[in-house]
Amino acid sequence: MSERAYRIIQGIFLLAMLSLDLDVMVTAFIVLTLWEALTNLRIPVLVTRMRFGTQGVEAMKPEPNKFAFEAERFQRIVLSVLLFFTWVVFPDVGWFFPWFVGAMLFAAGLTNICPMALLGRYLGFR
Amino acid sequence: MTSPRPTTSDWRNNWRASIAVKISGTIMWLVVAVLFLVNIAVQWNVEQKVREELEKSAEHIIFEINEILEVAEGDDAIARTRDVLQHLLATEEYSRVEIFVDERFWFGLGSEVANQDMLSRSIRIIDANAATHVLRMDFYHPRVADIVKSERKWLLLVAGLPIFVMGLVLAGLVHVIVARPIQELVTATRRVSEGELEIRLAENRQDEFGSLATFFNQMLSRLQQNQRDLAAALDQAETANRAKSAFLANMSHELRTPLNAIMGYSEMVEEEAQDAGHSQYIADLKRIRSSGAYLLSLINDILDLSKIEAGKFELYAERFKVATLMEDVMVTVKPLIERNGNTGEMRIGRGVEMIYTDMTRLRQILFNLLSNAAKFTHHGSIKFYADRALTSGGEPAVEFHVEDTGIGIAPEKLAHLFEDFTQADVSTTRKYGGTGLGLSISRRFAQLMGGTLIVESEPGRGSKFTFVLPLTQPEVATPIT
Repeated sequence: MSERAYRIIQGIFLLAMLSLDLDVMVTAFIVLTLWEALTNLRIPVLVTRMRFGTQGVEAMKPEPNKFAFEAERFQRIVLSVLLFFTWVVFPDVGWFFPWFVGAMLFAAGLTNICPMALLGRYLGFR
Repeated sequence: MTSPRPTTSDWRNNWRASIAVKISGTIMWLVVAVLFLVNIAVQWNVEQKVREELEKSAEHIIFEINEILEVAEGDDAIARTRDVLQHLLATEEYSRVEIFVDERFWFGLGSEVANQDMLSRSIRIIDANAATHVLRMDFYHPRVADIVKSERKWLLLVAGLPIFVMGLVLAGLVHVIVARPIQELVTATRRVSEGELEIRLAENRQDEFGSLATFFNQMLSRLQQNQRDLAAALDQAETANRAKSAFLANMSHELRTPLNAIMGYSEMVEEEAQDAGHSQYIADLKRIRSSGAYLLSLINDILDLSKIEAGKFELYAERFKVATLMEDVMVTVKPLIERNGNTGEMRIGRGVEMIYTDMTRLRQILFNLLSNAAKFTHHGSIKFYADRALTSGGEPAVEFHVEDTGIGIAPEKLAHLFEDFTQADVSTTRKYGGTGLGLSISRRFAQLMGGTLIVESEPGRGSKFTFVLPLTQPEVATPIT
């Protein structure tokens, strides 16, 4: 599975859970994103490994850059931390942010351009 | 070969490669960002507004109940109160309303009140019997935070979804209007670079892309025409080259054979005439032989030139002593030198020993230079010397000099001296003979052998030809200019 497809799924999932007031699912989304960032066991990589074995995963490996840390992990860390603060800690002030993240994830998946991952790449992550 | 649509799932390549994606992405991010900014601005005080709405409706209802209780009593008051509260519960956020008169429960309407907030309002009323009471109404409603959350969600969905869809439509339009013609142009350009010159773009637009397509097609047509012209010129050149090669192959033998026969037979007849004592024929026979020799040398020069220009001239390099060759040439040319009352002088510099080059061509060059010096000098001196030197590239070389005190060459004639069929002056041909090929051929031979041939001259004082030749024949001959 490509990161692009996963972003579309993430965006649709998050927007749907917010629309249906399923707060538990939104929290679960944040936890999953944080887990992906900390362990680097990203869902797209795991799905690709299941479908195509290690060959598929090798094809997805990014080029080396200034840091060995991957830009996709960086994106997930930033996402999960921001969502945590705006959904759990300051929901009154940051109520709009999860909606914004959902819409941006969906748009990033549609266009295949993710600003957060671009920023990570610019900063030197793989 | 690049793909016509360079989009991949690798977002980094995609950002670098596709204009359509860049435009679509930029539009979508702007739409999402503006959507949320507008929503935040609109919903900034939504909580305060919700509380104000609740309080306003509570105030309105309590006064309405007050008016009912002022004129009605008993069942009539209850019935009218029920109507008002039912309408309130149906239209507002309240889930239950309780009415207390003088802190005693009087009437209530609505459902469960667990996990609900309460808004309480009290006023003094005067009932139908003109008695004063304290009327308190408790309004139960969902938590303000829940109401606000629900309001925000619906506003986002109702306003956001159409705007988001419009953004997608806009991105699609931009893709059709801008990206598609550019993609067509990229595809056409790629195919042209692969050699498909017949391709043409559709000229069905009235905008800048239409103009681009028109000029692109014109450029291709011109390119095709140029290619056709070049192909025709190449064909002609190849035909001429083949004809020249055929001439070289045929004429070389056809011209030399009869001439050699003429010279041979004239020499034979001269000897027989001498033996038979017919001395009156000797001079004429000598003239026949010398004319034949001259014609043969002219033919040889022309054929050599043709061979060089056709690129078919090959050098045969061998190792030999420079001094031996110089002495040999000097002996050959000595009669020519002494004919005009000149004195000849030869010197071989220190270190001039062996050389590896084409001996025949070197002899030809030196003979040509010395015979020219002898021809154009009267009662003067001719110096022929060689020294060790270096080429312009720093390689070891021999520098040959032929210096005379002859008529010299005017500066304006020097530039054309080495051109084919050119002599220093038109009158030179009349007075001194010659075809104007000797120096041209000498320079070409010099270049083929990796050397240089230059001249310095002053009218009335003489000329000096300097020929620099590397000690070793280069593998690749210097291009002839």
